Amino acid sequence: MNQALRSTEILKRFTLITGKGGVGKSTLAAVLALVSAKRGHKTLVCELNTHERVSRLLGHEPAGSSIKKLEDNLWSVNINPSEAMQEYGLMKLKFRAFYRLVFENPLVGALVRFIPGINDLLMLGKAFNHEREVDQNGQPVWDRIIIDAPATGHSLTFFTLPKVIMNAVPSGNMHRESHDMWSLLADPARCGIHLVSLPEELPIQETMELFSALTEDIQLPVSTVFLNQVPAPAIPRHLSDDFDQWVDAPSDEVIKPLWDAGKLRQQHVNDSNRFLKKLERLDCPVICLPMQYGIDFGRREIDALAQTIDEAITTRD
Amino acid sequence: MIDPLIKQLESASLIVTAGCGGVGKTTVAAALALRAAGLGRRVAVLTIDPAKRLAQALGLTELNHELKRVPTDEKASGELWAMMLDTKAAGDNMVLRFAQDRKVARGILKNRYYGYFSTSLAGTLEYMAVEQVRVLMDEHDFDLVVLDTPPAAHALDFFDAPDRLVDGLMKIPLNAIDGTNKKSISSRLASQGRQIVLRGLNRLTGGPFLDDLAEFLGQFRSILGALQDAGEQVRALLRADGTSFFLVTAPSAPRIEDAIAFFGELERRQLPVGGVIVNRVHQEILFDTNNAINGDLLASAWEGAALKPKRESDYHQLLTRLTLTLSEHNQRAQQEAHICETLALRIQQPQFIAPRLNSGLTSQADLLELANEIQLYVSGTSP
Repeated sequence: MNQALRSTEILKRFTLITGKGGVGKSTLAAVLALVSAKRGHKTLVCELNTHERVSRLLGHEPAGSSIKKLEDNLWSVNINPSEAMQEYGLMKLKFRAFYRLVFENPLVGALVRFIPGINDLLMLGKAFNHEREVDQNGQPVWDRIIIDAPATGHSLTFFTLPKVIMNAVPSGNMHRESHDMWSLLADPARCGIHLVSLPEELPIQETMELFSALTEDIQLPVSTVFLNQVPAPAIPRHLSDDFDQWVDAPSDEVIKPLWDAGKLRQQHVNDSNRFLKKLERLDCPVICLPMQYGIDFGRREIDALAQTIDEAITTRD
Repeated sequence: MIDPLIKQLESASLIVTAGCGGVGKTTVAAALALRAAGLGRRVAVLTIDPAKRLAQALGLTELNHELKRVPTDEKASGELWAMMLDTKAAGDNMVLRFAQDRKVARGILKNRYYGYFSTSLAGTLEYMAVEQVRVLMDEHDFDLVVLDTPPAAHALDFFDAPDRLVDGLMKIPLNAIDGTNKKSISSRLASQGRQIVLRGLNRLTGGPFLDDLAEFLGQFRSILGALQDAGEQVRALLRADGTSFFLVTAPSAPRIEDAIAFFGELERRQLPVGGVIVNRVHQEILFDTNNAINGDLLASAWEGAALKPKRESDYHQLLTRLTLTLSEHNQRAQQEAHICETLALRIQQPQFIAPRLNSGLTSQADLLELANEIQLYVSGTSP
């Protein structure tokens, strides 16, 4: 059973999801997007130049690089760096002819494209602009923005970029933009950074390392750690001690496979509990997402996970 | 583990593990290196950024950028050494090595941008990794070097970044950033009557930024020729006889799609692929579903254990739960077998299965067990 959390802790205006590769970042992005949309928030889920897992997980066609409505209150986009560059250029230079004059200058074009990390910065910048976007009445266009951020390692560079640019460029537009982006990332009232992990040795270690790198070295607050694929116990609680004490494999050929499967699962459950305790020592809430057993992983599984999170929120809000 | 992999471990001089993040690439690299050492070879494993746990599993208290002997079984005739590439020093070393003189090198190293970008400047890490491989082979005389590549979507960058760095620098007009030219971009644009472009630039970035960046790239470009030569060496080494790429992946549908795309990229670059390793595959627990089982059978099998459930209903409940657990396990194993079969049809390369081990891979014995359990996958059979 997960601890109860306020929806404002899990679903901040600007939510970034990160973690080691293969731990289920896109899954969590899809799940949170669904929880957010179902709670009536107008939600935009952003993928950063990827194979578009999120829209597929939700059972929709890939969205592409322009914003596409998936279902009630839920939109999706796969941000493309070169389009983001053009958008940013047009926004700053106002006229297409002016934009082309500047960007098609061979010297400028080559230099701008050579700024290290420029693609990541542009993609983050575009997501950031959606956060600021207002309609003609001055109301925010989006209530919630959820970003499937790059995998660990790369993600540290990703999160430090605004600060790097801010320090490298002492004044002007890029400095201002990076400064605003950094202020958003560092503001726990508006921005939530969620880490995703798995109940396995290396992912847990990397999550602990990423947590301290983010909170101590870079000084960005982490909202929540999600422990994904938490195994379900094979044995009812009141019988688990008995089963643990049954250490010698049965000689009966019919029972042996059942014993094997039970022991294997119980070991995973025990490991998972041990890892959970480790994560709980971090100064931030941990939410468990149960392992979804079954042939396929699709919309039905996403719905089930969304319900888990929704329950944790509902008991608290 | 059977012949095809042993053969490669016995004969290859460079094994590169490649793949997307989170598939256990570093662990597989360490396991292969350990196994090769067991075959009597003198092996070095070079990783980019391993978790501390892996160092511990190898039996080292920490892994840093010094080459360290890994304590192995006394009976093993080979040797295993390990080191981590120092990503911070990589860029500095490259500049010091390739700059035409110390003055230029100092100019680059003290440039503000260099400080910010040296670790992320595409290409530096890759050069130094491959350079380190060369040093290990030529100067330390290792029989085999196992190189673990950095994870995630950036995996391909590892092979492309050196070219891209050179290409990128080439595209910048030489006269614009020639180190000898004292004129900044701003004044150059102004003198060319391009005030309007300059105004645009100021709106985009703030004026001095590109001037500074251009100055930095100008200096950096002065080592371009040396970089190109080094790039050639990198390309040659990665395609040399005795070099073998292993693509590591996990048995899930999205990972397999990534692996197939990745394999296409390796082929397109004509990099020699030695095989695909599907890591952490669930093994099916054989069970005859025709067997009649009931609570009594479970109860009698339980005889002799220290603790036993007391009520008959407990056995019924347990039987239901254990049957479900077994079927969930086998469903997963069958699904993964299906994925391996799909992969075998789509990638015409030897495929190896590394089973999911119950241990958390926390000791050298675990790593060796992993290496020993890697099996050649034969299409049409369940792994």
